[in-house]
Amino acid sequence: MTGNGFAGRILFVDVTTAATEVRPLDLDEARRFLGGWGMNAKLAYDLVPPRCDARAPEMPIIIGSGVLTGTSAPSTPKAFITTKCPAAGTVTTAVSGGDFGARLKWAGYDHLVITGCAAQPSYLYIRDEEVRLLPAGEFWGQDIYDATDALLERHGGDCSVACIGPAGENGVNIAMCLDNKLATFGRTVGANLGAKRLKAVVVAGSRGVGVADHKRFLKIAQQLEKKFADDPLREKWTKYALFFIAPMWAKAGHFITNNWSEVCSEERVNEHFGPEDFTAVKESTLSCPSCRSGDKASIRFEDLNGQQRQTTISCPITLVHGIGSRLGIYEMRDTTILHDRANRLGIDALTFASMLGWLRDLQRRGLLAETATDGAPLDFSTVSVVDWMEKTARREGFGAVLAGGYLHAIKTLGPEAEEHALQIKGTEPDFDARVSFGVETFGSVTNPRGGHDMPVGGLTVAVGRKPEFFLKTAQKMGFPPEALSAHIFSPEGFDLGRFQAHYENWCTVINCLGICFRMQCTRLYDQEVCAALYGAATGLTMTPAELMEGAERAYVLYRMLNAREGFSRADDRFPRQWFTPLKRNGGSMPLMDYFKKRPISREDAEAILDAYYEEKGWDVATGTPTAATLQRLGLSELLGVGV
Amino acid sequence: MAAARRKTTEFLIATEKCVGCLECQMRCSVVHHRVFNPQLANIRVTPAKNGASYYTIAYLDSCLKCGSCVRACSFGTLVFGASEGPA
Repeated sequence: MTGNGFAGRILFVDVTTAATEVRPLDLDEARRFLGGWGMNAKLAYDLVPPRCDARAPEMPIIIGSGVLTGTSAPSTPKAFITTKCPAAGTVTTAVSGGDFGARLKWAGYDHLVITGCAAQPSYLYIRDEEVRLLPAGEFWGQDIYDATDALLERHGGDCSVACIGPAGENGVNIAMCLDNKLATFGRTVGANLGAKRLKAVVVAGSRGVGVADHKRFLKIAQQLEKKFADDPLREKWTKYALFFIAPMWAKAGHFITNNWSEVCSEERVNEHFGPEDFTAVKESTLSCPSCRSGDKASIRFEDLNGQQRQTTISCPITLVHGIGSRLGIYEMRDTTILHDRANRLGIDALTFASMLGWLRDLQRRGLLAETATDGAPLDFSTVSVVDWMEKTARREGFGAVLAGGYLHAIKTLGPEAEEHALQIKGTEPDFDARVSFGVETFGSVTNPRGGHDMPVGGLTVAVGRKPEFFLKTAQKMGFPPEALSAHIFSPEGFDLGRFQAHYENWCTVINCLGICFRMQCTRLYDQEVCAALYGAATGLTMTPAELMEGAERAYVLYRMLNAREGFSRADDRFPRQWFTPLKRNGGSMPLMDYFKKRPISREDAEAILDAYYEEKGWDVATGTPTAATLQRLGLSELLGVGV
Repeated sequence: MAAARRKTTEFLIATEKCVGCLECQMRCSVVHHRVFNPQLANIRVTPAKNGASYYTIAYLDSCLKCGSCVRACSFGTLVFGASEGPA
C-alpha cells in the first residue's frame, strides 16, 4: 500500500441525531495549510459559526491528527482539538500527545468533527467504518480513570479513550479531556465535550496509514532515530523526566509561589523534588506512539486513606512546577494525590492551583471575605485542596466560582480581584517573564489561546544561553535569510518581538506535522528534516521555505479566526504583575530582557509587541494581519474580517 | 528484502521496560506491508490489566523472525537472544 501521509477522510458526526458522514479531505487545502494543526484551523474557519456560544449545539469540536502522526517518524504523536473556549470566547486549539491521534489516523480519518448535543449522556465509538453513538450509562459520573478502564475493557486494549470527568460533565470551564488516562487536552475542552453530553470518544483503527515513499521515509526516520539514541541526555530524560533539570529550574527561579509573587526556596524544592525523589516513586516510563525518548510516567503513592495506589502523569515536573509551588505544598506524596484527583475529576490542575493561590491572596489582602469560601478561609492542606477540587467539579458552593475559571470569577469578585489575577485571556501562563523573558512568556501574551507558550518548550526557559545560540537555532528553524541579520540578531542578543514573529511559524510547522514539543524531541528536528519527511510522506516536494510559508498561512488564519470573534491587540496584554519585581530571598527579580542586561518597563514591553506585529506584517494598532500580508499568503478571502 | 531473509530464532522480551511506543508494531507493518498499521504487525503490545508491567507483549505465529521489531525498539524491551546479533 502506498499513500500520502494523510488518511484522506474527515468524519462528521452530529450527536443530536447520531448521523454520520464521511467526506474526502481536500488535499490541496490540507497542503496549503500543511495539514494537522493547520487544517484544524481551516476547518474551524469554515465551520465555527462566528460569535456563536461555545456550548451551542452547532459549535463544532474539531479533532485532528498531525501529518506524520501514526507513522514511525520519531516522536510525532500529536492530536489537536479546536473549538471555542467557553470562558474566554477565543477559538483555539488544545494540543495533546498520547495515542488518540495515531489511532484516529489508523481508523482512516485525519479529522473528526463533532456537532450537536446528545439527547442523553453518550460516548462515541469509532472503529474504522463502524461509528456509533452509545449510551454512556454508568460511565457518566465516573472519574476519568474508572471510565477509561471500563471502556477499554469493553472495546479492547487497541483503543484510545479521550474522556472527560465529572468536571467536564458539569460544564466546569477549567475542565480538561484526558487521552487514555495520560495525555492532556488541557485547560477547557472538557466543558465543550460535556456540553454535548459526550463522556468520551473511543477510537481504534485497522486501516493504517501509508506514505508516498516508505523506503525514503524510513531512512530519514532511522537517521533521526540514531540522533535520539546518540543524545547524551536521553537516559536522563527517560529516567528522570524533567526532574533532572529541576535543580536548574529552582536555581533560575521557575518555581513560584504566593500568587505569582515570590520564588520558592531553592533548597526546599531541591530537598523534596530532586531527581532521586522522583525515581523513588516512579514505577515505569510511559510514552506516546513513535516516541524514542518518552518521559511520561506511572508513579506510586499512598492515598489519603493510607492505601498504596498507582497513577499516571503526562509531565511529571507538574507535581512541583504546576501544583506544589503554586500551593506551597512541598511533599511529593501530597502533590501526587492532588494531581491524581485532578486527573480523575478532569480538572486542569495547573489552572486550578493557580486560581486557588490567587483566591487565598485575595483573602489575605482583605479583598475576599474569609467566610465567602463556604464559611472558612482557604487553607492549603491536602485534604482541603482535594475537597475544593470535588466542590469545583460539582460546582458546589464557592466551588462554582472556581469552576468558572479566571474570567467568570473576576466577574463575580470584581475589579480589585482582577488586579491580582495573573492571567492572559483567562489562563495563567506556564512560566513567569520575570524569571525569563523569552519566547515562552512573551508567546503566552501573543497566543490567541491565552496564557500558553507555543510548542518547542524550553528554548528560553533555560536561562543563560548565549546570543549566538539563538542565531544558530534560528537557522535550524528555517527563519528566512532576511531575518538572520542585524535586523534581529546582534552580538548582545536578539530582538524578542521579531524573533517571536518567525519562531511561531516554526512552532506551527512542528504542530502541523504532529511533532512533540518536548525539548528532547523537537531539538533533534530541523527545517531540512521536516521538509524531507513531509515530502517522503505526502509525495509533494516542499522546500523548507515553502513549509514555513504554509505554517505562516495557517497561523495567520488562526489569528483571523479570533479577529472574527472580536479579539485584537487589546487582548494581547502583559500581566500587570510582571512589572512588579518577584520577591526572592529578601531580594527581588524585576522584569529584564532574556540576557539580563536591561530592565524592561511596560513601555519597553509594548515596543517589543509593536516590533512583533510589524515583523509579522500585522497592523501594529489592531494586531490584525494587514491586507498586504493576507494577499501575500493567498488569503484574500479574509480581507475585511475582524475590522 | 534483507530483513525478511534473516533467520533469527530468538528475541528476548523485557516487558518491564516497555513504554508503549508501539514502534515495534509500526515497523513490522511497514516492513512487511508497506503501511503503518499495528493491526497488521506480527507483534502485539497491549495495556496490561494487572501486574507490575504496564504492557503485555506477544508475537503472533505469523512472525517471520526478521528482527525489524527488535531494531526498532529504543527502550531495550526487545533484544536479540544471546546467540543472535543485528544483521
